[in-house]
Amino acid sequence: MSRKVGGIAGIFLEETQVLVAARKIREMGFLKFEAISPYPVHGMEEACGISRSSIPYVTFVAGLFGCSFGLWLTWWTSVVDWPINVGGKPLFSLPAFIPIVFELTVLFAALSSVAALVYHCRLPHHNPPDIDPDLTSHKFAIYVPEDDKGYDAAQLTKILNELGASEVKKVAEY
Amino acid sequence: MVGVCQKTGRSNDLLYSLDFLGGLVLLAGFKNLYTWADPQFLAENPLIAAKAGYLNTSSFIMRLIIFCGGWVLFKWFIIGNSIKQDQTGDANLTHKNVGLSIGFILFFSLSFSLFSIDLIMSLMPGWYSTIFGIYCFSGMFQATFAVLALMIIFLRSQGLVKGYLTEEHQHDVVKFMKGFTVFWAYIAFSQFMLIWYANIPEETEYYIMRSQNGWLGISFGLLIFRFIIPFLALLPRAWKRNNAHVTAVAFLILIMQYVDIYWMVYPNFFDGQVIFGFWEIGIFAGFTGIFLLGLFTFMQKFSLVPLRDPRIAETISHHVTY
Repeated sequence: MSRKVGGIAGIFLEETQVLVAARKIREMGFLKFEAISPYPVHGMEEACGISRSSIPYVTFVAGLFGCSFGLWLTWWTSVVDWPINVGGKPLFSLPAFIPIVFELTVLFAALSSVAALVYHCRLPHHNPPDIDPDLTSHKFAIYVPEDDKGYDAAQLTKILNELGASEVKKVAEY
Repeated sequence: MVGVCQKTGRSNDLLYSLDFLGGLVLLAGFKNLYTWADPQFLAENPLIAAKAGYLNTSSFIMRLIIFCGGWVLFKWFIIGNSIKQDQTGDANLTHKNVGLSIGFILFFSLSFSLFSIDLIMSLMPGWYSTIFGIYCFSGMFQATFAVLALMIIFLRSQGLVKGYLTEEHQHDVVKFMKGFTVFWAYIAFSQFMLIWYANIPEETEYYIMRSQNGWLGISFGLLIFRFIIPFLALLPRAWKRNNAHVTAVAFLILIMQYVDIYWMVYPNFFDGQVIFGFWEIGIFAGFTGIFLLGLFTFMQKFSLVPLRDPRIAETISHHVTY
């Protein structure tokens, strides 16, 4: 059960405004705020102060694991467990096994990346609450949850308005 | 992004004409190079004589003219439109170039495939590999991105494209370079594995030649220096953004492209011995020199960035996410 949290959301109509707003909110010391946009905005990670994700490392390690597992699996099945002479080729014929090794590398790397992504985003936990359906088509928002450090509804409303928000609303808890 | 790269690749039409001239030079020693052009050889080898409908001197030359001529024409129109746009600022020229570029992709991929079959695969007329054209294409593409990366690093270090061609664009080109490194390995391995697995004499001949008389080392060298090292060296993000590192990898790829073509061509001659000397270096250096001459005269004459392209603003703010 996730705790019910509400907050303040400022809705913006321009990409440039939301970038400036995200930077400003971050500089004010908020940590849990979210910038919501219908499409990836260039420079947003930097404006929000999001550091690099660890998913590529997971992918790399899982890929290495899948590669070694594939090599071990093909060796074990065709040399140890059930040796069969195929066309007079050596039992351990690496070229024939490369596709299997490759596929297992990709399979492990890809599935682990998705798993790491789900874990990283804390899915299926849904955060923040629904703010405005237009955020999926043409509007942008900055959302600050009320449990963030230094949260002050009146001050935030004022600042978001100053930053050019077309609308500032208190988002109900869900 | 595309706009910026379009200009850096603009001067290649000279090179296509050179390809054609180089092809014409081949005609001088035609019978020594291409055994299928020798009537006596054909009389002794009925299997190769059966291919004469495609492999004969006049249609070879005709294809050479059509391919190189087509490439030059496409380049002429695409680049001509871009230069015209620099002066007039007509946005329609961009739309025209989109159509032309799609046509060029179709024409080039087909013609380059046949071009490599004509020039390289037919050196060994009894041997065939249906993936050969793609093999050459993938190597060419990988090397293209290496050249592009080197050019971008050079232009940026000279401060000639400040604000237009950024580290973000460079990062994308290097990503492509890595992508096509994998693509080359994929195609090269596909060609090798099927021939190795089926083990049919007329196909394995190609790899047997390249596993004897010192060629085995070069074959493995291709695997290691053209795929494994560039692949690992281009994995981390920070390394893709390090100019010195990318320059080194791009040079490695270009050298391996040379070795690859050498590896495809040379074992067919000189009794399979590995020979390398002044001629091999000199001819390569000559073509590189003419290419760079064409490139720099072009860059001096025309704007490096298509400033009046309607999409230029979009490309400038390009940013690679983490």
